[in-house]
Amino acid sequence: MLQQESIDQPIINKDSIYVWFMIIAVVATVIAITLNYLELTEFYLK
Amino acid sequence: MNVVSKIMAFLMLILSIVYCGTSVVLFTHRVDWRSKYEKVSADYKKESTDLKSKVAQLKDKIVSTNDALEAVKTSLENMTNDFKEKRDELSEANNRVTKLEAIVSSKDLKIDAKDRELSEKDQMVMDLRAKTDELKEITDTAKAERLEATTKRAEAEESLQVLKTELEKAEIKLADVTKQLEINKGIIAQLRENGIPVEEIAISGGPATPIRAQVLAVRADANLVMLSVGSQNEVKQGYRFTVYRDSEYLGKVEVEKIFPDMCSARILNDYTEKQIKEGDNASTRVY
Repeated sequence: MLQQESIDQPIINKDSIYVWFMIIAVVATVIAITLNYLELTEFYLK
Repeated sequence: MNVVSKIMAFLMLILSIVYCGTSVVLFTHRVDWRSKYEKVSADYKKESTDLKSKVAQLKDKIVSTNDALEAVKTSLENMTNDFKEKRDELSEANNRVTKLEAIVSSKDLKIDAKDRELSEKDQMVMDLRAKTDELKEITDTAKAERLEATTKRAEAEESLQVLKTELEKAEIKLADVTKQLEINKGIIAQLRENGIPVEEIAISGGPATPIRAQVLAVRADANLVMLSVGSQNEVKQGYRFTVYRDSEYLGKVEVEKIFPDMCSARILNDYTEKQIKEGDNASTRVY
């Protein structure tokens, strides 16, 4: 079934962009949290 | 995916990007707030201690300034009292000054009067100097005259001495003459005893009998006249004739040269009063 859908539909699905949005949001959040951690460890969590 | 999940995914993307951006900005502009707090707190403590010390100093200064203010107040009161006294003295001094100004004005008037008097005195002094100069000139001339007078006096004294000597000589001569006169008186007395009319002879200076004549000619430049009598009439040299016109006396003449019927006689100027002319009468004796 799934294979059939993937064959029938184009490779770039319109909904996959939202998946990428989520991925990018997660990565950005991770980066932001990392930066906050680094700042905290630099001054206060020594 | 339904629409709600899509919207949620998009919102998550936006918010995560915003969160990431803010985190990046904060990381890039990160600051050590603790050390800064500690530093600021230390600075605050330090400044607070400094301010406390300054406040204490200011309090001390306020106390001292209050003391000084009190002193200034007391001095100000003293100065006000002094000022009042000085003002009173100043008013008295002003009164004195007004009095002195009045005195000075009166003195100025007196000085002006004195100046006028002085100018008048100066004028008088100038006049007196001019007079003294005139008197000096007069005294100089008087001194010169005095010198001349002294020289003249000396000359007069010398002449007086000469005259005295001459007087002495004249007195000696007078004594001789008186002696001769006494002798002559004796001779005249003897002649009178012998019957000689001495007086008649002596009065005319000529003969005993009078001789009358007439003036024939007159030569005034030679003081000579010609008389109408001569040796025939017993006329002699030295006889004096008195010349007259009617009863008016004219003068005297003395016979010098004798001719038989005329004679020349010189006019005696000492005894002549008027000019003798031809035709006048002459006689050895006038009666």
